[in-house]
Amino acid sequence: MGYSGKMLSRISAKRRTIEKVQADLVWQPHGAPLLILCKPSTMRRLVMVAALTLLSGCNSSDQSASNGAAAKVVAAESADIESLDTSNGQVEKELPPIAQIATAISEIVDTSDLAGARAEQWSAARFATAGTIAAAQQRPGDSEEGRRALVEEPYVSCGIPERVYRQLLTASEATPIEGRYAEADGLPYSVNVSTNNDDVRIVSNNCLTCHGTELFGELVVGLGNEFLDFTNDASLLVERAGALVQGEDETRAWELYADRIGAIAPYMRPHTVGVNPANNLTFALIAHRRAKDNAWSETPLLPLPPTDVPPVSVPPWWRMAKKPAMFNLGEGRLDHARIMMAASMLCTDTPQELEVIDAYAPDIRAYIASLTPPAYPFPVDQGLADAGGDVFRANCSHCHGNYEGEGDYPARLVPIDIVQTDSTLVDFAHGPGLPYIDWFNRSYYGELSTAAPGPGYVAPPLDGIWATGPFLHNGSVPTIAMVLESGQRPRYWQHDVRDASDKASYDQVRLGWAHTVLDIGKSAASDVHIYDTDKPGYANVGHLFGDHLSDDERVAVIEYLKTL
Amino acid sequence: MVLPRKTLDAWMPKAWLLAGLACTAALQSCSGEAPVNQSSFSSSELSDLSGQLLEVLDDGAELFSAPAQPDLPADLSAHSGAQFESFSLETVLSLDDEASQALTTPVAALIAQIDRFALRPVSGPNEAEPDDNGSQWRFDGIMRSRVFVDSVSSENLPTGASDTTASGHRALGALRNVELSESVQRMALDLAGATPQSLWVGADRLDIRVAGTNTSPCYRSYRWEAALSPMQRIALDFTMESCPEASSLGELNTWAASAVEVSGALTSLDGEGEASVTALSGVAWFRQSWGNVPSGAGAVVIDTLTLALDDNSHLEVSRSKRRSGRGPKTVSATLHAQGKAPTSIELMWEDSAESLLAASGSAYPQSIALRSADDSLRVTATVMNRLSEANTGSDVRAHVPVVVTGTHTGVGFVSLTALPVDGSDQVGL
Repeated sequence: MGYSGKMLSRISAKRRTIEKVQADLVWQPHGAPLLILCKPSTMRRLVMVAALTLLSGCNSSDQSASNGAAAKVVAAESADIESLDTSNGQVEKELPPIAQIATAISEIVDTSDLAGARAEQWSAARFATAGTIAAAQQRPGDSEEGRRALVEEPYVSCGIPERVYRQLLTASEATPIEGRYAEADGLPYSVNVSTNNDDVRIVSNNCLTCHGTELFGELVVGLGNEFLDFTNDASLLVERAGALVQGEDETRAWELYADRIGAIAPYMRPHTVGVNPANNLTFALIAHRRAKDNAWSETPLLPLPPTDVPPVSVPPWWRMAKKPAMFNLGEGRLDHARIMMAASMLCTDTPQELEVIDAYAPDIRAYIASLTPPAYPFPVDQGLADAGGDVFRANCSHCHGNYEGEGDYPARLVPIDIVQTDSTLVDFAHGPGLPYIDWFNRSYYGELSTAAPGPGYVAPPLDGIWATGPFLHNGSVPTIAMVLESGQRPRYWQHDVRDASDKASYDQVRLGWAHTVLDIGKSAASDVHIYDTDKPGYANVGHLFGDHLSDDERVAVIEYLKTL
Repeated sequence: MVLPRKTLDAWMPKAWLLAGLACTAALQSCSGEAPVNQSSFSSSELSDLSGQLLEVLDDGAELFSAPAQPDLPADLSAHSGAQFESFSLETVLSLDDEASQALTTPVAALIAQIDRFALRPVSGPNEAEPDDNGSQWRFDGIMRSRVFVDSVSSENLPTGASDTTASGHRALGALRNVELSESVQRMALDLAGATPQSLWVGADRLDIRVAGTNTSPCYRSYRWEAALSPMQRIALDFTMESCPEASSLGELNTWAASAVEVSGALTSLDGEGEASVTALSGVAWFRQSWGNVPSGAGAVVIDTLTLALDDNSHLEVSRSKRRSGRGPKTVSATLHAQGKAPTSIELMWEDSAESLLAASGSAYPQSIALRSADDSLRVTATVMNRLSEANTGSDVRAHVPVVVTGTHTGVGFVSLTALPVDGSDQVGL
């Protein structure tokens, strides 16, 4: 089931408009109208590779509104979507407008409605329409074997020589993970160790670098780390580690890794500690690879992404069992295991190497899908939570699903006009991001999967949401209370803590990490811990669906969310 | 990459560690049968000196256990059980007038260093003690002292200077003619030695005292004495009032104290044996490193700059370069503004096209231009007068004073590897 002809016609018209605007855009790494990309998350850094992002079609929304105020949304191009006027925090019409897409199915479409030249140039690019994303069958896997592979296999095949890494390591950093090979004794959970073809043992980041967090002193696999610091030049540390590298074999191993990091380092430095650059670094890696055989090219083969890195909050892995498509724009369609393999993109240079990883990738996916969220560790007022459940089902379930009994999750890809959150990722997907979508679909990854970004963001399941702050796809809103009441969102803020270790620093009333609201942003202070919602991609606008609730209703919903 | 959580701030002392402090590479343990005669070398002979050292030493460095992470204040003492230990002092000196007030114009810069290389592992509480100190054929280690002095402004006498000051100024100016002084001694017959309170190499020595009224657990007072020439001797006193920054890199640990106030005197003998004393004071960087010496040259070399600026701030900059000549050159800088916490800043580092040729034949940039990302700092650090090279075993590098001009003025020190000699941009040994 798809869109009606009328709807498709409107979408096509939208795309043409966007296409025209984007065709006029000059690549502007800094500032400028928001072109940045999107994507979801997935591994990262060193490894940093990750996720694959695909873009999607939609219209560029007005980003001038900020701070929860305002945003007059005129969904003029969609007769099926009601207008909202939230200037006073009140909804002008009956909510939720999202109901209008209830019957739509998110479909993958090609670029034929784009302007001719670009459609021809990037003919393998695909987009998705808004609506419910259908389930896709996944390759079966052994979750136990997947767990082993995740923390033992060298899917990131380059890194720092182990001898050097251990010299740089201090005892306080080596939080281990239980139950893996003895070779990793003394190494932190976030790295794997392996032996390369020159018999040099190397240490490389694994997926848990971004997808693992020490929460209140205990490692939670799958919880996105919202305190990682990517604001430094990655090359700086890697190059200096080279001072300890000795001998031809070690030098060769280190230099391969240092070269790759050097190639992507400028594209993975966000403004703020805690946000993740996975999208951009993935695009930078794609730009250096040949689609047909994954070969690395020192000279970029595609345009490089902007250096003004769009921020992404890392979603928790335990939601993967419910999600039919990966990433914020729902761009990761069909076989998830193959998409997850993008985490190997830093140094995996041949189809043969990819095949080796592909043999166990379904196991890793199965393990990820088997994860469950950590239970809320503080007291819950069950009566209040029950009341909040009623409010939730009446106001939130349509997009975020039901959690009673077996529950259900609709996997709705919500048009940007409706959700109104920062559109940077969506905008990028429809413009500068086209080459990367095209590349993915022509590559080894595209053999079993398809990159097809949607015209907005997927409303995620909310299992374990209490642990996943800050919120929205860009981590722009520090607490759930602020998600539900947009007028309370701070323009400038920073976390009061540097990690997730301290229970006392968790805000049990508003759900999120303790933070301080600031009077100044990045223009007045260079502190990398400041989250400045004025920065492109960092806006905290949109998701105004809780504004019409009463204070009591919001408090009740928050209590209910603790139980998910 | 997400490397172990070593902060960029912590790289500065490490950079120095790598840059020049020690690394007379591959010094390894042996039974020490061939004595090294006391020697003094001019800068042009340094490569030969290192060659002699390396010839003396055998295999066995692995017998030294890796040092623990720095533990202050305990690790402020000498580390007699370590394979390698080094103290270094870099200071910018001014003349004192009759009222013992420092004149504002820096007149000289001094780099002093004492290194100790153990030749065989020892154990027990008296591990530093040689088995038999009575024979020149039995010794457990080798020590080296280096002193390099350069005058900043030997021609420009401060306005209103008294006769005494003028005399001192002339004496300092004469230091321009002092070659780099380097002596190597085996640790036998008291020619050189190290205890928790003292290190000495011939007439050069560093004395450490804990006594004092300061309540800081890291309080220490030091006196560094060095013979600059047969006719000139310098003695500098300084204290460390608080605990310095400590870190480790590989099997080397270090701590570094910045902006330490020093005072002392230059004593000069005239031809008739009459002594004249010139009072001095200044600001210094003082470091200690200890651990195991790297067994070879790394894939990357680190150049460093330490500058004292006229607004009483101190800037520490390091730059990495791959030996292969490939890859990016990364620059890290920390600004220590008075009364503020150290801040990392982004700097551009550009070597001048003009170069200086050292005695070894290696070329070094005559100056280095630094520019901050916000353009608030644009300075050029120019080699003060002349080059002096040191062979660290892993690198040959120039380690000399510089004069700063631009948006800020000041003085400082640079430790640089040579410019490529064949156009390949490779860093030579």
